[in-house]
Amino acid sequence: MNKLTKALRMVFMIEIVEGMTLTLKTMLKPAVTRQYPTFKRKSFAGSRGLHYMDRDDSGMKERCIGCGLCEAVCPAKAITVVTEKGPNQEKVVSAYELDLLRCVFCGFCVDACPVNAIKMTPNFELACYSRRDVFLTKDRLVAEGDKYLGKKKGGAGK
Amino acid sequence: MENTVTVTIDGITVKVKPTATILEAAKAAGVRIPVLCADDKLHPYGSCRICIVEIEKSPRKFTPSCTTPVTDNMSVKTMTPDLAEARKRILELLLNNHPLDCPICDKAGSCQLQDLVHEYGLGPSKFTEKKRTVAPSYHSNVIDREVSRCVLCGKCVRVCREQNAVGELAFTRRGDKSKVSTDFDQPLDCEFCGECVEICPVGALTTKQFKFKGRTWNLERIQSVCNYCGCGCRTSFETRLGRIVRVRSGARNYLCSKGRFGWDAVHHQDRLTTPLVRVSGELVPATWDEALAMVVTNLNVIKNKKGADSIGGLGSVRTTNEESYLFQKFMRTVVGTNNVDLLARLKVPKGLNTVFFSGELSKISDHDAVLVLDGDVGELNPLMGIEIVRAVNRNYKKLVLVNSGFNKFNRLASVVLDYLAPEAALADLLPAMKSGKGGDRVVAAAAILKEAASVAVIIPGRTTDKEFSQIKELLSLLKGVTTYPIVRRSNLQGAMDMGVLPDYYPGYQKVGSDTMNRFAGSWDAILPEAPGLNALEMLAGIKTGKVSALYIMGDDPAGSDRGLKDILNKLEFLVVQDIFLTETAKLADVVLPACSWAEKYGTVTSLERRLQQVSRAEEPLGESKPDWDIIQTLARKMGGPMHYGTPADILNEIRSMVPLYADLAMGGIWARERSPLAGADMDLSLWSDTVMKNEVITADRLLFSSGTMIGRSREISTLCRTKAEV
Repeated sequence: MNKLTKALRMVFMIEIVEGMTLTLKTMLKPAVTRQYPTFKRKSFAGSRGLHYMDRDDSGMKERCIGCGLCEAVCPAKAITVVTEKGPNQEKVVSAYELDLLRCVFCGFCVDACPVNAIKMTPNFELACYSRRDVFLTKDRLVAEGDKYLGKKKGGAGK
Repeated sequence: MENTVTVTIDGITVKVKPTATILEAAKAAGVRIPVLCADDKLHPYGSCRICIVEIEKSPRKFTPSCTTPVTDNMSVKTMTPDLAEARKRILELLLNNHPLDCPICDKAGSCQLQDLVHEYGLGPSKFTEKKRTVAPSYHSNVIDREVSRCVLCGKCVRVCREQNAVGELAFTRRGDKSKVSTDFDQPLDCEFCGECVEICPVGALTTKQFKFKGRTWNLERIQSVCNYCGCGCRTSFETRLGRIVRVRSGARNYLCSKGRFGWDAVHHQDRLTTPLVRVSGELVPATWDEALAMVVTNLNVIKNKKGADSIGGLGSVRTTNEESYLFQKFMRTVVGTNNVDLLARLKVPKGLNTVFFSGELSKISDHDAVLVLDGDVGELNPLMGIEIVRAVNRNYKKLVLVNSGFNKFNRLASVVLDYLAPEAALADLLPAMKSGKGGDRVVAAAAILKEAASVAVIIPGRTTDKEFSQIKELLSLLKGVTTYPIVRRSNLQGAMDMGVLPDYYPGYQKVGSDTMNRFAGSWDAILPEAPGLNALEMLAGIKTGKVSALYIMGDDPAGSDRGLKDILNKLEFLVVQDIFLTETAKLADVVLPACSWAEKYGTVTSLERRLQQVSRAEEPLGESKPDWDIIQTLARKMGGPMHYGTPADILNEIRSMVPLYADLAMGGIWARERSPLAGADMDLSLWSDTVMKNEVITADRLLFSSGTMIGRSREISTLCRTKAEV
């Protein structure tokens, strides 16, 4: 009996029919694959991507006060904050450097910042052609912030 | 047994002196009591009240431990729930006015208040009143005062008065308006030692130099030794991203303005970064190979033409022991002359290393009396000055001062002998010591000195022959004498120990046939037999044509005495190896860039004859190299075998050649008895009425001057009101 069933399945190519049925059925269903570069998924709240630097209330300069807590907390030692004395005895952040090649996107810097200056966008598309581009300076971080916040504001409701 | 009392701290029983405080007893028991206003350097004060403890069977609930002496069988609890709550309330009250600007405060991370608040876990404050704000003071040189952050512990006020005897800072106004300030809120006008900044438990006092340069937890600390005077203070270079941003004192040490702020000379724009050679009258940059080839060729030509003794070498008191050793070895073995000397011998105290060996500085206050023969000691060797103040202020010892002017020691001295020169003072003091005759003051001074079972005598850095014999006579009349010669130059002791002397091999072994054979055997070279020319004879030899070439390592004769320019110009060939393009380097045919003391390893020997290690805090600037490396490369090119990998290799050779250093541990002092010159009534210093007589110094105060290096420190030059030529 067992041998007979096996022989019949072989003769009528039942397995191929079963397989083709699944294939044909799936052909008619809509695709689950997202066509990534063309179609992008909406990011989840709290997703951690490219960093940006917020501007202060005046909007003239960055919010960072140069306390160096992000640098202290960074487990990958990706951040370097260099400060100096300004003309009016104030603390000036002369350089804020973030090496994305080192960054592990843990978001500790965002948590540590006492003035909410360093934040993260959901942007995870960080491939680039030059190593220089993965080295974020203060100006680039502020520019990323402008880009992100501008898009967020402009894109609202659309 | 009757000299100790038994105290129980948190169940631990200790025996301490009856004069000890509870805080000291707790320290002995290994129990930590939190403190803000107490410091080992200072007398107890009791202003912050953090150190409160509970004493059993005491009617008082809480007692401050820093000001309360122990009694026998006292039982103390340092941590109870009540105490924790009380300390929390004290901290809350301190924070009532303390701004919470920790993110931009330079003290954050090493702030005692911050640490305590964190330890006791303070939450939001009950107080909602506005914080007191006082305008900060930025108008002093070097030091900024963020008055709002002050917690009025009084440490700065006390360290300035008790340790330095300057008393520049004081409390002004009263009640909640009280603050630490200067007379009439004027800018600081003090020694600028920065001890107040160091001791401040919060960020109320900061230095302009370090302001916003880095957070304390990001700094790398490298232990080294200060290179500005003979005291050899331990320092700690603090670097950020490979650059020095701050220098602090080592543990329980003291730093003066030069040690703390003068390091920025290593970042000066005058630093040499490439070798320079003279091409048709102009110094132009060259490669190391070109520069060294030029040195080799010229030295060889002059050696063949006029003999090795027409070449001279002037060593340095700024370089490490290893470099001094290698320099004299180079001159003796490779060049083949004993013409190697230190121009700084013109500034050596008479009788140093022969009659006057220095005692340990920290033991000055162990003596019953201190006799200061040079009132400028606080400016020349600041640490020695501090130890004298400490002897008087903390250990209540008597001070006899010979001073022609008026300075901080006059206020401390039991007797001031106001004479223009030590010679006149000693001329009066000696008969008073012998027969008790003389003026009131001299007799009083003689009485103090006679009564004392031990006397520390501060020997002037420069004495005439008459003074020298007078001092020797005086010392023979005193009991338990320890001498402390003033040595201005940093590694003078080391350079002399290493034999940068024309008539002594390393370790003060006299140049002679038996020592020559021994050194020739070890160095595997033929050594010249006769002693060489000393520094003055070399300069005189240039005039007569006897000396045609000079190799100067780390010294600036033309800068310190403009008159020497003409003499050096007469040379056929001059090599200068320095960190700056000095006045002397400008005259040179070849300038070799050396790296500064912050950029190399090695050892130095302080005036106490203490061997200490210098460590590298920064990478050598540009193409500069350590002096030892330059010398050995040059030696190899001239055919002498010198192959050292590190300064430690050289130190090992020194240990095998110099008995004084044979088993000298790092931080140890070589015993004076072992020196071949101990007890010899002779003099290693040089004396000239013309050379270096008109020394150029760059400041109006001796404290802020030392020529080539400190003149290039930006911070220190802000302290100088005028430029002076003495």
